Amino acid sequence: MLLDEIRFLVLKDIKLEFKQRYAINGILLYVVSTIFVSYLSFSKIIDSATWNSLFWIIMLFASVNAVSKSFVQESSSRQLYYYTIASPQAIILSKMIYNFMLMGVLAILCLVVFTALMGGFVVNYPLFICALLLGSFGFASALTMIAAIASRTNNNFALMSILSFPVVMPLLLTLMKVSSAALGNGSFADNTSYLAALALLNIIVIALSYILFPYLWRD
Amino acid sequence: MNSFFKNNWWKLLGLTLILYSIVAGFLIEVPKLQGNIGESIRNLFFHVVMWFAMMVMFGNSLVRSLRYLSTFDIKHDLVAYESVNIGLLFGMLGIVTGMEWANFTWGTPWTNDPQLNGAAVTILAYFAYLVLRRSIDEDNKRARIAAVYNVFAFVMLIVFIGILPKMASGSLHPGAGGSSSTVSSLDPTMRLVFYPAIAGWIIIGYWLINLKVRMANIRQMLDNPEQS
Amino acid sequence: MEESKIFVVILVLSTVLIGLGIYLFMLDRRIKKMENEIKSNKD
Repeated sequence: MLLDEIRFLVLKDIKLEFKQRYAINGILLYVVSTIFVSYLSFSKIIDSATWNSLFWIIMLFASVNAVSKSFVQESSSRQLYYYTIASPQAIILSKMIYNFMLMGVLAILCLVVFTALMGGFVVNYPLFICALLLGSFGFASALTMIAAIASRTNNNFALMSILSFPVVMPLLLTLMKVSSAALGNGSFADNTSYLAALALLNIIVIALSYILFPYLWRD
Repeated sequence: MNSFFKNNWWKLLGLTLILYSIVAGFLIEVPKLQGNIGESIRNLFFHVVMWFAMMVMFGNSLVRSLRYLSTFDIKHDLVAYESVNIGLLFGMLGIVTGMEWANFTWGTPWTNDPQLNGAAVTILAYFAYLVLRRSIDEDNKRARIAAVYNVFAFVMLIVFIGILPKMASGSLHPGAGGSSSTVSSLDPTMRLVFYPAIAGWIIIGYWLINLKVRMANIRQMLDNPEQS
Repeated sequence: MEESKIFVVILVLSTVLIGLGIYLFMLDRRIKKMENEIKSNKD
């Protein structure tokens, strides 16, 4: 029953997205323009540490941007309709899954454009892809929850960034460590502890959101 | 006069404990540690104590938030809010005193140490809690949303202050790299002053929360007169 | 080591603490007075 609800909601969001292309276009524009600006400002070849931090900073802001839209789109009357037909857990999980797919697209986009413009510094691709995957999942889950919290207030984007910054920090730090290892010959085995930590963080955030979202939803 | 002591003995106890920590903190013998820390290790009684007191305050806030979510009694939310305020007070004092001590001992007020950065981010998380509260007007809604965020913030606190520093290694700050060198290997003489000091500051923290909650209640009663 | 000098520091800090304590108690008393006033106004 729960899985059916989730599948239904996720498909609904995807269909909506294909019709309007609201979020995708926003992300596309944001990512390309920020990477282009960095390209223009860094005229010489940058070292791997800078590449790493730039990449994740852009990922971070693009993600916050993208996820914050996920709760804003629907008007309040439609939200009341959702409340009556679906359980809150299904709603939060479906939003997370949808955002995860969005993040995945975002990550690949970022990687491609970044490599094209700034040079390919990635040495250990599997490790990096793993980091990207876990990172997308982590961003999606944490940011969806924060967006849910922020959507209940009036001023959306500034509050969203303030709230998400501390919550996203541990994720970001671990991600940067893993990816900097991927840039510089780190082997897969070395970094398993970090990857495990990332996975653990994900699980904690998702579990917390699962438990707490119903309280937010009762409006 | 006797009823005064019956109700307020704990406040005097708190003050006495801190007074004791000040006097004893300077008079006892401290071990000679490596580096140029010297006598300033006594700062343990005043700087580190702040952090422990802060964590208890934030823990109290978490408990109150959870109790609010299970009972929806708005009194819990008020206490949770004031606990965060006092926790932030202790936290800011901890950071400032830490910077002063660091500047004196290591030559710079801030280093790239996971414990320092973690503590800073935690403080930011709780400031974000305050911002969140300020942006919602309706009482119950604000309480609910703030309570949810509080849980997240506390988890962040555990992660940043408890877990991450153990994973990283090699820094100037004691207690990094898997060794909890401040707490478990604390010199027994220092422990005699350290623990009472923490207890004292926790008591004072609760007193401050108590005062602020009562002031808020009064203000509310003055704003809406004649509410039964 | 001039031990006598440390006593000044102890004295200063104790004064600060006792001063703070007195302030807190005064606040406490003022709040209690207000609470009693409100309670008596209700009757």
